[in-house]
Amino acid sequence: MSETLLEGRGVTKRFGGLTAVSAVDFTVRKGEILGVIGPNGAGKTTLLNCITGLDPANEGEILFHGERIETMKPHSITRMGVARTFQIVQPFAGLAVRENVVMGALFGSQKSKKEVKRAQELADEMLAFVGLSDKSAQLASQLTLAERKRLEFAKSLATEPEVLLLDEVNAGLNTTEIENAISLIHKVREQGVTILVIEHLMKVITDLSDRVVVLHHGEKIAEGLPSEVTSDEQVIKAYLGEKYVAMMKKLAEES
Amino acid sequence: MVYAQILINSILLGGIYACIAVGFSLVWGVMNILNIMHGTFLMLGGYVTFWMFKLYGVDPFLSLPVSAVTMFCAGYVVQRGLINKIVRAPMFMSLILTFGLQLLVVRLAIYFFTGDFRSVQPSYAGFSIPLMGLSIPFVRVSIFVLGVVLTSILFWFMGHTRTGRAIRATRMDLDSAQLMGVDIGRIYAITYGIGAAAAATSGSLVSVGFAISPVSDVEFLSKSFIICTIGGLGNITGALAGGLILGLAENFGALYLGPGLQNAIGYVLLILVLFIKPSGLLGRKGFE
Amino acid sequence: MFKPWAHIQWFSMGAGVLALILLPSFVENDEIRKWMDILMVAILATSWNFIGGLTGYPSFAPAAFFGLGAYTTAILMNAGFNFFITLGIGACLGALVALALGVPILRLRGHYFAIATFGVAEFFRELADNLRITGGGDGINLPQITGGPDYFTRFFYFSMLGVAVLAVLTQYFVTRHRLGYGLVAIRENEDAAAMTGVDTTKYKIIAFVLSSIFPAMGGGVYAYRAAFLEPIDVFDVMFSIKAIVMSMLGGVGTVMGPLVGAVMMEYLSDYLWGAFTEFHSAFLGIIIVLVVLFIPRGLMTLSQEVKSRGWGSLGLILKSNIQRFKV
Ligand SMILES: Nc1ncnc2c1ncn2[C@@H]1O[C@H](COP(=O)(O)OP(=O)(O)OP(=O)(O)O)[C@@H](O)[C@H]1O
Ligand SMILES: [Mg+2]
Repeated sequence: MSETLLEGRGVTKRFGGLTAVSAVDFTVRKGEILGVIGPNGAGKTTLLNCITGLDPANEGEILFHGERIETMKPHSITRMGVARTFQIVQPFAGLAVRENVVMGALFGSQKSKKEVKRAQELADEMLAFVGLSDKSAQLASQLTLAERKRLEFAKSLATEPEVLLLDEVNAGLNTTEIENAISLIHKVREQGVTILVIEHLMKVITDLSDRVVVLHHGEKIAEGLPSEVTSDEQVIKAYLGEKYVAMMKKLAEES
Repeated sequence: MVYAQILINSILLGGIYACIAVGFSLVWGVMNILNIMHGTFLMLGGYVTFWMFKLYGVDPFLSLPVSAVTMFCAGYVVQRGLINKIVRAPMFMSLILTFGLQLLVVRLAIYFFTGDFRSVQPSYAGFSIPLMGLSIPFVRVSIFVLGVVLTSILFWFMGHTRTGRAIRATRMDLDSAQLMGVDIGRIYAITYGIGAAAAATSGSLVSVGFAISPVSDVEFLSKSFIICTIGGLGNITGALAGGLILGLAENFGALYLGPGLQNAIGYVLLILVLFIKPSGLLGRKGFE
Repeated sequence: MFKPWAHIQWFSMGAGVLALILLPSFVENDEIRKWMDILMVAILATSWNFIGGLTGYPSFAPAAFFGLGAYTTAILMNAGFNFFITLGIGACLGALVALALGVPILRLRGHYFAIATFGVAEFFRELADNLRITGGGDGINLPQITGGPDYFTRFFYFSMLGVAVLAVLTQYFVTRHRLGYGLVAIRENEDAAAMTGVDTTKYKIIAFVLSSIFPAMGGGVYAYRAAFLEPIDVFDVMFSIKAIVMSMLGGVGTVMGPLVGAVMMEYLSDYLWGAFTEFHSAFLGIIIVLVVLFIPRGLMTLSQEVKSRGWGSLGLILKSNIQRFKV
């Protein structure tokens, strides 16, 4: 088994009386794709916000390469090699597509401190990689949703991350667009980037992930191989409700 | 005894401050406009009362409705004709726009009214009510009471009328209010008009107890800044609390530090509150 | 690789500076004085651009730093310091104060930030009004400059020009450096900027410090020239407003915009209503309203659009500007 890259121990985040993430443990191993699933409001995005320092956890430890990062500022975490995309895309709307990606290249990973010119070259590479080269001079606000999601991708890849955290990159896309996105994720992994992907769609997560973690009401209710998790009764209940599970059981008995 | 007197003065002053700030708070809270014209409407309202008294001998408290209605109309037109055009632009634009208008109007006011300080002096101006060895100036008490009553009417209006509810709906969410069929342009104009009318009313009140000039608008504007920041936006208790705190701080500050630094105290308070709790002491989170 | 654009920019900047250097050899003292005022506003506008234009934080602090610099020069020159040394000290003091204030103030966003900066400027004025070292409300005298009017007009003109060139050059380099990119990222989306690795707190403070240094120096030159200061003269919110409006008129966030705005505005206003000094602020008010409604993105952007679409489309462009943000 390969080494642990990113790890959480008892991560807890409260908003007033609501515990959005409750004592969650997780590990992300180098080179894998870890899927995180859960119904609406399960706390997936909140968990990412804790990891990236945007909305720090109340309790628990988060380690990257064995180093504690839970109290670090977002930019420091990014510079260590943790990048993310946003569920609600967050482009620099008033800037050109290329400039958006340049930002990631300029300020991301500090292993090689880049100047503007080098950053622009890297940005062009990233745009080619995600297939946005022909839009590079357009304003980010003029892109379609699918394109904006790819821009988000390029922007975070330009920070040269070791781990990439993807928050619902497929939400709102049609089937072809989803297929493109999935193949893009595979391509990124082939480059040696470790990936944590949040998804709503079971189908996508089973195609994509090596392992899956399931969140429900802020708690981790299951973890394992995609096939194990998707047949877990508790998971199905969380996803589809009790009635559905009863119905399925009845169907199985009848046949 | 001196403390009791200062306490009473502070409370009376605080009530007026609350009244001064309430229209500003409304416009800011609903439309996210930092209305630099607020002090200007206040000043104009004061002049309406002053001229009606001076030229026709109308009692200042009777000219309140006139000053409110004229400034409501002026505010409605300004919002409809100008501010509505840029209301979705970055918030900073409306600030600058109202600043431009303020420069223009104040300059014209100086031209027509001269820069002299004026004050309405009705026959009862000097009366005061003796109470347990304290002296309570009659005019200030009347201003205080009227100010509180008018402010309460405004908040009743916001909560219990159709228009008031529409205003609150647009404040919560502009786009869904529009989808629900609210005529945003009109609602915004009414809101701004109400803000202007509230400013004008307090201006009329202020012209009796205090003195006004075309350039005193900035002073009232800064007070409104401070009060809304201290108390938080968009609720009557916030405006009242902010007004009282400022009144107390100014009066007691003047007692201990000398009258020269009275205004500086307000700014120190403003900056302190912003550092400690940017949404105001009683404000909610989430408003910018 | 040959990049004609970069060269043209350098060339036009060089030509502009040269023209300003040679100007006093060709015109009367009155005209020099007018340009001195233009340069002063240009300093304020260019400096505001660091925090307001590039970073998107609408600061009303220029007046605070202008006054701070002015009083620093006044007090120190009275204590026998050399004028240029007082400018340097004023700049350092401005930077220090900006640093100290920036840490808490820059946590605020939107209107709260605007009000806080306004409050700082007003607070400074109240202080100057009440402290003994500043002479309080009575004001403070400075040593008179020696030499004839030809000499001192040029002396002040070149001092102002020096500060202005410094401000514009700094701006030029900042916009081409990662710092400038980081500031723009903050303006466009602060959370996303942090997620791409921009140290937003540090960058905002740098921008605020930069935006305070040059107004402080300009204030110093103003003080020596005026030879007498009153709190209300130098801690005047109009300095902040002018800085903002000139930037907007020229084009917020661009290097040359604030400069262009300052020149256009001061020059035009002199021609159009130089005779009605009394109504100066009223005309400024009208200009502000028109700029906000019709050319919110500034003359530089407007001229580019007109260049690409032709003069005939000017009306259309203005019309679309005013329709962009209405309800
Ligand atoms: N800033 C916040 N303040 C208060 N509550 C919040 C905040 N952010 C999230 N929550 C609450 O925390 C819970 C978890 O939200 P979160 O966005 O993490 O869910 P999610 O799993 O990402 O859901 P979705 O699939 O809809 O994206 C929700 O109940 C949400 O309302
Ligand atoms: Mg989510």
